[in-house]
Amino acid sequence: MAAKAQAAWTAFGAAVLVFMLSPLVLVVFFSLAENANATFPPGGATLHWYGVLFDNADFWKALGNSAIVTLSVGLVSMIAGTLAAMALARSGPKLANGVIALITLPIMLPPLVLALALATGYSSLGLPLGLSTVIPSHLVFTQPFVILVVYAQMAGFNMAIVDSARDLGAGSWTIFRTVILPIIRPTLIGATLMAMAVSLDDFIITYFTIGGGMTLPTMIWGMLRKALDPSINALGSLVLVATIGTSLIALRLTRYRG
Amino acid sequence: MSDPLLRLRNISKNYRETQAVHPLDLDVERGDFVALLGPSGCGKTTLLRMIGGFLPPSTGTIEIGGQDVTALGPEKRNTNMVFQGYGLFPHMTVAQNIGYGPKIAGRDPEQIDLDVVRMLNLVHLGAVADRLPAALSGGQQQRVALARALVMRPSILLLDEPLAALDLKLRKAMQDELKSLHRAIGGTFIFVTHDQGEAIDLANRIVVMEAGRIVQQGTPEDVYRRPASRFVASFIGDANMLSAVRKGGEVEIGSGRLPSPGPDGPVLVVIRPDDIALAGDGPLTLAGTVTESRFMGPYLRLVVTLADGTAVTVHRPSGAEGAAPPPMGSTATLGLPAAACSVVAP
Repeated sequence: MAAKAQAAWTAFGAAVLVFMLSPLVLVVFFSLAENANATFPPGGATLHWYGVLFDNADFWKALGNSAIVTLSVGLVSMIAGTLAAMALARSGPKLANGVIALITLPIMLPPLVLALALATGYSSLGLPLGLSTVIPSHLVFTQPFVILVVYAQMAGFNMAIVDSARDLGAGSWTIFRTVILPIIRPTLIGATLMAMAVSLDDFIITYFTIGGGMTLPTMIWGMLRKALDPSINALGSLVLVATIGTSLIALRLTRYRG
Repeated sequence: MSDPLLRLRNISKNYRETQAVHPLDLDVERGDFVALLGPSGCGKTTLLRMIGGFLPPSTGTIEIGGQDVTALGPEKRNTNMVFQGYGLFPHMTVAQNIGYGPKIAGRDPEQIDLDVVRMLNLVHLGAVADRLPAALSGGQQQRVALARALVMRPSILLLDEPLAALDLKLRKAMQDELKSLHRAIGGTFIFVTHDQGEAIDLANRIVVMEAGRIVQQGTPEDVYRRPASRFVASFIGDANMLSAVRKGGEVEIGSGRLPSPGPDGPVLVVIRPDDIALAGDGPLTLAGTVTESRFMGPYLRLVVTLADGTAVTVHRPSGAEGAAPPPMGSTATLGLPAAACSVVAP
């Protein structure tokens, strides 16, 4: 009886897993299949749809935009996030917890509400929509990741190390460069990659704040509305690989506790 | 007194409502090995951190070698500190840790290498020069911290509970090492400790602190033999405290009187267990009954209960003169040498 129940639960778990992961598998599968309708039977294996994608001028434009947004968001998140985290670590835990609760509010909000708020905000300020509004919008929800991760390390940072460096004659900048940065570097890179992965993926907030342009996710959305072309699957597969890749590196690095 | 190396005048520190250190003066001579001794929260670490420049004092001035350094941060003071958690740089090897200060100071790289090797030899760490701190034992990390501070040739070496993290055996070994280091380089050391045994063993001057104030300072023998207060007497070593009354500059105790200038009123007579003679025949004697007798290894610990119920502890060397310890329940007459008695406020 117990064995039967055990088997049933295992089967149920497997079914849930298949249901959750099979769409991802299918995206990759159909991106490599000949069938132009992305349905079964798939036909033979081909890289044709990747060719179609690469011939699409919109793809390159979207890729360029995504690269600009992702890299800018990564860079700003890293620098501003580190500075914020260090300032928080230096203030008391009470103040730090309050500030962290406040700045993580945007990632607790439904993205739709945040997107709407940002779009309304920009239009009321009279700012033209474009990449210059997408980047700060992304920072609103990527920044908290970096601050949280770096703060977690800085809060537990052995301050005797900083005191020692001061005692041995180092000024603030030298301490940061020779002692703090080398110790937190893996965390910093990991947190930045996480922020970049989240930014690369984002659709809703980008869609509301980009105006006429497009990034990879908004381009996919646009293509989907026209037809279910397998080159979308090719694009989806590429985004998937990029996101999973950076996330894996990020996880690996942030788990490092040298 | 000649010119002290370190001169604190009217130094105090308060955090909002709490006064961590009350205004105090302290002089430290060149070559001194000073212990700041007191229970946790007595302000000793705060005082050390003010000397090192990590905390600005609320009032007062700090002079080192005649120069006012009150406003200078630790990076501009010729003091170096060995921190309680050592604060070693985890991403640098032992040699890089030691070479960090000289490198920042812009010393000649070849000279740095020589200095690092010299320090490695001084603290016996030559074999682990290329290891990271995480690969070292606690005692080795402690020695790296010492070497890293000493390579800066500080005019004063500050040590914050330097041995607290080590186990007993290692602590004894490091005490010996610290003493011989102090002898070898002839520097001025100030260390913070709550361990009275460590203070007596290492320091040539003990500064006893209580609740943000210096309550006594002097040689280890001074503070042990002539405690200035009930607190010092109970904090350092074992002490018998006998209630007595002072009248007209004399304290009546047992069979005799002890000259003691001061106002009339109740006092405590402090005497160490090892200063009391078992078969007393001097002017000051106390009669009682032996109620406890324990063999403690090098000495016997006896408790003699007086007629008024006061328990007096007496230590006598266990190998002394072959005399058998007095049996339990027997009467004993304790002799108190007047010179060994201190009279303090109750």
